[in-house]
Amino acid sequence: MSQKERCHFTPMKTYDVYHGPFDPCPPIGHKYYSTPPHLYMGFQPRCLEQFPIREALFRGTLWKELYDPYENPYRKRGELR
Amino acid sequence: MNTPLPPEYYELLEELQAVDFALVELTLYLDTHPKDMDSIRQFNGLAKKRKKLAKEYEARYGPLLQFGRSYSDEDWSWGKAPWPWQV
Repeated sequence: MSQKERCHFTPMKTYDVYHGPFDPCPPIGHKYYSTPPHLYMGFQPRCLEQFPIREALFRGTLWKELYDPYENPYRKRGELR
Repeated sequence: MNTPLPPEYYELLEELQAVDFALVELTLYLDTHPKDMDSIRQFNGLAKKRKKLAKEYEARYGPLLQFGRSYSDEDWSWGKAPWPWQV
C-alpha cells in the first residue's frame, strides 16, 4: 500500500460539548483531540521515507509519515481559552 | 574554568545527539521488524558512526560516561567539565 493509496486523515478532530439549559457555567463549545498518524497506519510498513538524521532529531521522529506537529487549536482564534 | 565552549563543541554534541536519536528510533523499529535487513544495515552504520563521534568528542572535550565506559585524562577531570545541564 503506497503512500498515495493510504487514506487521507486529519491529525486533529473535534466534538461539541452539550450545554444544558440549567448549566450555570458558560458553554465550552468545541473540544479538540489529536489523532496521530500511527492510528491510521496499523503495522508500520517497511522502507518508509525517512528524515535526514539531523532533522529527525528536531522533528521528533525518524519517519516522515509519523511526523505529527501539534498546533494549539484553542489558540487559533487568537484568544486562548 | 568558565571559559565559553567553542561552537564546534555544540556542533559535535548535536551530531552525537542526532545519531543517538536515530539509533533509538531504529532500535524500536527493529524490535517489531527483526527481519528488515535495510534497517539493520542502517543501524550498524549509525552505530559505527556513533563510536567515531564519541571517540572524537572524548578526545577533545573529556569523557562522556564514567565507570570505565570512557577513558580518563591524566588529572581525572571528569567532574570538572561543564555538566550537560550547564552546557
